Amino acid sequence: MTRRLSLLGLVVALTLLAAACPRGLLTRFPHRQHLAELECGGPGQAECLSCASCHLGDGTRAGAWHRPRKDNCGGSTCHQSAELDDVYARSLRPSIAPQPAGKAIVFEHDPHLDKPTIKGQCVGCHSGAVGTEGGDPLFPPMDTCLTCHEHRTQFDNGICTNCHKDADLRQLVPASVFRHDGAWVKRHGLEARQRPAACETCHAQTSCDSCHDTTRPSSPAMRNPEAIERELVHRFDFLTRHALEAESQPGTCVTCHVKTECDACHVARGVSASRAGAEGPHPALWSSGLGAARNTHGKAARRDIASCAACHDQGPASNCVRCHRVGGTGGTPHPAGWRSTAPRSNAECSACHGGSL
Amino acid sequence: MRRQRREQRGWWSTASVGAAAAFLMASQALADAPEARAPAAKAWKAPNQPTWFDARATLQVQAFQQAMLPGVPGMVAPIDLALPITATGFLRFGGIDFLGNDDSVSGEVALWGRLGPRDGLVGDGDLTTAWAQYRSGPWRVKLGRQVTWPGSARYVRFDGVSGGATFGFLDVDAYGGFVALPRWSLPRGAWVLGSIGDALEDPRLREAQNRLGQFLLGVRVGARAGSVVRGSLAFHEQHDAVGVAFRVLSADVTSQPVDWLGLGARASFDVKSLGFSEARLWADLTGWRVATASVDYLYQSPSLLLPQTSVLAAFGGASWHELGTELSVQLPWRLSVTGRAAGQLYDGDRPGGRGLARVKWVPDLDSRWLVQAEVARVLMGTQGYTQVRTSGRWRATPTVAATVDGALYLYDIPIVGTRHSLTGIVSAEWAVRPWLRTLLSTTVMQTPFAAFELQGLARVVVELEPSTTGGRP
Repeated sequence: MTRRLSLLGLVVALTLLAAACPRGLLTRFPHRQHLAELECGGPGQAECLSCASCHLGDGTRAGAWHRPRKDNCGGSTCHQSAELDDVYARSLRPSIAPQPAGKAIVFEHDPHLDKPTIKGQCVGCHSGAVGTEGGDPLFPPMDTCLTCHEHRTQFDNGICTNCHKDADLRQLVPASVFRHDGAWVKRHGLEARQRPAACETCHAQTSCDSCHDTTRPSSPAMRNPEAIERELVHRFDFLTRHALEAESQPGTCVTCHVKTECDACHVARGVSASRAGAEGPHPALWSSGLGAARNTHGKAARRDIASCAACHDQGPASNCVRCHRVGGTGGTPHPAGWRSTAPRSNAECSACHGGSL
Repeated sequence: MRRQRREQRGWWSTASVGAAAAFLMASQALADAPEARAPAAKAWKAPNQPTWFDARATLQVQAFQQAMLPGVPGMVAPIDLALPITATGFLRFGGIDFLGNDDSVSGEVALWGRLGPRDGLVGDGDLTTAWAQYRSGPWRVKLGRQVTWPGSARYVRFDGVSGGATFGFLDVDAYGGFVALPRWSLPRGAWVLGSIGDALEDPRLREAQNRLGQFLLGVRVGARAGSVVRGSLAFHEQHDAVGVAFRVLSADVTSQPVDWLGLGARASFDVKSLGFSEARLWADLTGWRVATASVDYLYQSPSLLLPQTSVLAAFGGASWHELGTELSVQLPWRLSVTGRAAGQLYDGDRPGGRGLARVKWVPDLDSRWLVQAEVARVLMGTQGYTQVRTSGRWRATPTVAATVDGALYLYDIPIVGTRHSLTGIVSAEWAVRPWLRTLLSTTVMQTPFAAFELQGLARVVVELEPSTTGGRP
């Protein structure tokens, strides 16, 4: 038993470490060594390097920023021509060569580098260039841009076209900022409420309606049977399960549904008080006489009154009112601590309190 | 014996500490946040964007057939074959210059229509979205059929106007209009949302709805402190045909003190009943690439989530509490595991619970295969159920895919004399062209209410912009 437990711990530890390992920078070039670790500038030493030494071919700000050419690496005090081909080839990783389609941003380095707060330093954004293996990416994620107050404001207001081409926007997923992971499904409503413009950047209102619109004639699970990864609550035999789900998480249903929708179906199936002669779905001793021992419906109603309302909400005509009105045999239905600011003369109160004010 | 137990605990502690240490090391190594941040830079104006639009249309043919056993005591419901045909349309546009402002007008229209006998109606349909928005500097105004996310009534569609402005750290929004849910044109008893296409219209149950009395209005003020904290205070009032259905004051606050930690809280206070209808607290750990975790506390008072015009809103009062957690771990070999568990407390002493464990496996790099398996358990006092589900997808070619999905539900207490329900779904997709996708699907079920139930779906989707996120079928 002890060995098994220790083995389990070891397996968990190794698994997590293994998961951490297979990642690297987008380039094989040892930026840190060139920028920070070389001895330079002294007598007999090479000139100190900066980002511009290699990435600005003609040595001017007006020149294009690009992947360094091989002749950037030569020179009498640097790599010798005999080893140059090999060194250059080893420093490249093909994946950085082509920019993924649709992911080019509208960006100019020069105005950014001229900012007094940036002072021409590239590594503020490209921190991966001097990071260690497995560290930050060389190409900055979008949340780096959003640390700037102005870009953050633009992002919150859904203004993306200062950086992205409009045609590209609808193909992009801002993964580093909007991680729709973890308990995202639970949180998305609040996000939509706090930052609707940010959601609208990618999503149409119809995206919300694809799950929340209850006017559609069939449920999202039925319309999308192939979407096996989506969290669709009405999947499979929901008809049988719906009462259990409503009991398990009271209040969840009313996120989208209103009680008249429940009643419409219950009427048709003969399980609603709205239908004359309907068979009652309730078990024995549900409301079979006076006293709690012969009535189990009270406790169930306390537990989830919304489920009762799915059938029994006909205003003053509700069969609940018959017994629970003032002077009726059912006694007061209000729970302990009941409070309301409504006057007793209003429609809901007068259903029971009418005539006894 | 005691020593052995102590020893076991010792080994377990060592292993746990080792695992935790490795976990922290891994998470540290994988943190996505750059250490060095780019300081403020002045934005420069990009060139004006051209006008753009997305559009999508779908056509769905469904078939429903049941062979029912006696279900509700004493009843046998004969069900005819139903073949409804449903079409949806979606259009979104933007980048229109107006009143001298570039890219200031955008909008969206979505609708659906159905032909064929179902629910006793030959045809049916609805306009689900239709709005246009104008933005100028910090100001915005939206006119038409749209949605809002207020407090207790948590997703409301309305026909009206909304507008707002953003000044630095402050957001102000307000809205008002007539409620569009439930559909104003269709009275109670005339239609059904469910999996069965049986005739449900009963003209005797039709009710006139006074739409003019069903209006809403609300205002929300939000503020943020950098990217670390944001919060808002909102008021929502909604009327139905009888009177005030919801009068809710709600507040929310979220914070991301570090990249990998999200904290949040929200609460809704029913002003009419002077009670909290809902409150939630949570913490999310989401910055790791290998794992995400969350802890969540929820309080609800179900009677306050009912419209306060309901007589029964005065009957209830027992609140319930839920404490839940969720953990997702990305393992090597393209394997991920998700676990969820929540404990519930009803009436102060009646326990309940929900739990789920899911394994997802994508064996190959190009995601040609996807295999999922999950087990779930739900328990509420006397009743409960266990779910076992397996599903898989195979992309035979870049344009052809097949999906299989099956689930077995086992009920603790028989429902209509039956302890289980079984569902199997088989689907096949074919992207004939990038803009034209087709799907055929069959669902077979055995449930407590039907000895045999068959559903068929044929779907055709035409889309001008394949990557659009709107107008999903």
